[in-house]
Amino acid sequence: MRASSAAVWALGLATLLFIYAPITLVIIYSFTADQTMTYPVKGWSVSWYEAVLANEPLHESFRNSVIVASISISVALLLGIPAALALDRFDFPGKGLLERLLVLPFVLPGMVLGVAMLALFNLAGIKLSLITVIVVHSTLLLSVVILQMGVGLKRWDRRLEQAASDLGANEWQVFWHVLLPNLRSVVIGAVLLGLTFSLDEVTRTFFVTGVDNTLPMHIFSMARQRISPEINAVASLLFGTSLLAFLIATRVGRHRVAER
Amino acid sequence: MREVYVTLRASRRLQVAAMLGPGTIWILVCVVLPGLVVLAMSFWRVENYRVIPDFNLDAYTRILTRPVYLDTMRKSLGIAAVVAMLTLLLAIPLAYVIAFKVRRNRALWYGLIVMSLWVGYLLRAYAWRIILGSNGILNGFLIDIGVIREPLTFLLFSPFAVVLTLTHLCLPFALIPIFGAMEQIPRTLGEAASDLGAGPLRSFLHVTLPMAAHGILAGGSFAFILSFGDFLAPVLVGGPDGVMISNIAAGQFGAALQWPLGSAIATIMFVIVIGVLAAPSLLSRWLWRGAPRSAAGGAVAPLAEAK
Amino acid sequence: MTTLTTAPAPATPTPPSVELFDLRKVFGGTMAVDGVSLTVEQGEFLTLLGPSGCGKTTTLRLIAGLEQPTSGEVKIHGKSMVGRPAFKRPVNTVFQNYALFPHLDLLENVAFGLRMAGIARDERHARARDALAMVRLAGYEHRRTHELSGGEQQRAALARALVNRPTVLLLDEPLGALDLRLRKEMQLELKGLNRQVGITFIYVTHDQEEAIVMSDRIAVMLRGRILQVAPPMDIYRRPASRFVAEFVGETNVLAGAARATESGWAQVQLAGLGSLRGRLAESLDGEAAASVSFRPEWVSIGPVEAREAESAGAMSNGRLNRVIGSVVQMLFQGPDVVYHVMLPGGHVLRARRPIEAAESDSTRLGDQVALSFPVEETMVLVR
Repeated sequence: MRASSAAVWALGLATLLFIYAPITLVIIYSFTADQTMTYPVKGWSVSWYEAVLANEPLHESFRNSVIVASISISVALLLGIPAALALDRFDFPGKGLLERLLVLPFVLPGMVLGVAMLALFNLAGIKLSLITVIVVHSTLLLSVVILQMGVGLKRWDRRLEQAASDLGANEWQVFWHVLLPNLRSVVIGAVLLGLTFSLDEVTRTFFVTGVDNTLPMHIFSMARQRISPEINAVASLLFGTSLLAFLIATRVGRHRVAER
Repeated sequence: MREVYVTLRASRRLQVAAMLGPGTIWILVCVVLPGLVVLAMSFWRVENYRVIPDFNLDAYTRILTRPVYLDTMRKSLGIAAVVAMLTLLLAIPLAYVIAFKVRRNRALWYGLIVMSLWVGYLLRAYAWRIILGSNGILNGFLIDIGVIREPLTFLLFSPFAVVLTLTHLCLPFALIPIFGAMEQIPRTLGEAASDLGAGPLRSFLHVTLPMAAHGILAGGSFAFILSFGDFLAPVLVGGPDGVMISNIAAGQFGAALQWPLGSAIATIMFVIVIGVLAAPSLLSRWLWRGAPRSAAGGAVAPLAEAK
Repeated sequence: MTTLTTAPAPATPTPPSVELFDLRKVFGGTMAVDGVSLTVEQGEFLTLLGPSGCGKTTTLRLIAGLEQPTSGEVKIHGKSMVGRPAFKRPVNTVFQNYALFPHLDLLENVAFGLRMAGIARDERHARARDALAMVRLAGYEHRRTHELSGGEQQRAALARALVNRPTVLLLDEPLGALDLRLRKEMQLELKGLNRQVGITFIYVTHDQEEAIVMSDRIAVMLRGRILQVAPPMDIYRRPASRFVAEFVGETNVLAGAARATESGWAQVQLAGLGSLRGRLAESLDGEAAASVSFRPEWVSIGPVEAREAESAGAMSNGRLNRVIGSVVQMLFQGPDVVYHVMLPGGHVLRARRPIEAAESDSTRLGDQVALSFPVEETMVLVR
């Protein structure tokens, strides 16, 4: 019995290793001096990081990504929060279909959605640009926001709203003074998730990108041309920044959501 | 509150419309409409670099008659199936360990898995690019320790590389719903199974697996869909042998300007994906025979809790 | 109906059903079970009774094999269970929250243990059907857990355990979630099953009424230790410690200093209130701080005799203890009237009288009364 338990543990740890080894190797090899990145490492250097910091087009792509992400998440929140609330509280004919439609951008392979949007833009005569990218990202993020809010709303204890009602609050006051403050951490979670998705998005973006690149698109074209530790350096920086952002977010968002 | 619902029926409807309206319109314009456009385009023609809305079945005929399309479709389905199975084979034990065997800091281990997604889909595929090459890390390591003398060439630019890379990419995504499902199994059920004579393996087979089935189905179908529709991994590590149907479809929208053909392929892919999406919820419903269990909702929502 | 009775007892003496030898279990820094030793006879209905946190559930789980002891040994039918996990022990548990498998229908739930034992499909389904019939759930075979009420789930959990013909059945507060009437019904049913089937029942509860109704013996636990093991009547009338006296049933307690008079009896000097005589729970050398416990139903109320009014409060003469106080409350409680009598010094004692007796009595609030209770039923408790 001990043996089978040990076997399961071993398999689990091996899988964990499988998940992390490639990432760790990427980060390690961002410090190699040799561009070919083979084993064993012949020398160490931070020149690739310097290259990244000097790479203006890369910075511009990064700026574009930030712009796209910010606008997309804003659109997604504006449209998604009321929609999620309505879906959580009301029943109406066609609700099931709508729920499935709302999930599609997230679940559908990127290529299918990307190609479809490209076809639409082409038919409508819209030129590809950062705007079209924003439209695609907003669609994806809308899906994500509604899903996340749905999960958070299910856990919310509506009796707290009833208590507020009993104490004289009208619907808007209940929403503003009771619901929203408690859903803050859910919204923050949705925002973080959406931003991560947007900053990592390639497959859908690939088809609707115009002249201006987003960061992942830029990296993608870099990677297709040749492999280079410069890309490793970008990866390490991205991972490091996400880690930092996560640590900050968990410290800030310690607000407890009232759970059922 | 009930009173208000009844007497304000009309304005309640207005409120629902106002809350759902913008989002629904967006979805209709940005998801349904493009879908319809693609569907329509699959029946059109290309002439002089322009798409002519002239109804015909050329694209579909071409797909059915030229072997390359069906072959690649079959290959992609095969790769997707293999990846889904491998992913489940690895994800289930790991999810089990974290859900049941880890006493303290379970959230930490789970967070560790989720964190691996932060590097980004693209860069995780890129990682395999640098690992598997003839001059890459793995070959270098194997040669260095003397296991092989010549670099293994099948590692990169092959279906093997695609399967390996896709499995790696899908693992965390599959693990999340599986872990979510396992976490919800009440501890006492495992104790009851043990009390009734089930050893650890049988307890896993007869209690844990059936109760986590909806999460496993969700994870597996997500891995399948992700792999089937992916064109990143084939581009980075696939090479000419590792071409998948999505690459072919994507290519039609580039210089080839074969938009109808590309649309037709995309439409077929869409139908397959919808089929794979619907299957788990139907299967789940049959397994549970009417007991309250969110199937479709449970499929995607836990996934969205990724980060 | 007869499928679940065990075989008639063999001629040679059987080893006790369950034996616990100095069991200890530590969780983190806390000692949940602190040296528990117990012998349970075959067919006995033994209850582990105590407040939450006393270690009764942990002890049960140690017997079941769901936890392993930090030290000590569990023997079932003379065989040591050291190192044996739950699925290898000939015991079955009825869990507090029933733990029915939601993905199986009732028949498959009940047949689960038989399936694990490798019994063929037809036979195990037949036996499961019998078990369900025995707990009056015939016809529910294909229902799912979420379609059953709390009481029905409880009976299904019972059937699932019993169908395996365990030598020992462990029950962990199984009636907690049921309403009062259903609970009382189930108490009688369980007791009846125990008598009918001959399986040893080890029952855990914090409800002392429940324990008294069902048990052959009760083991009262506190902070991981067993304070007293005895039949319900003995626990009630001869509690060995103050905690047991107060936990099981209502009682009056006064503190003082005890000195043994003759073997088994002691005189207790109450602070500023005089002295009483009572039965010693255990032998006493010299003087010791002690509590005096006497139950309200043994306390009679009567008028104060002239000479008593002048002397100090408590005194004992021959067979009776007497205490003087004034009536501060009279409450109607079920078939009795309860009198609250305040002694000089502030202690409030309670006396119970059946309502017929109270009606013919002229006692009113504020009256000075003399409480008398037999020395025989007064316990002197050093612990």
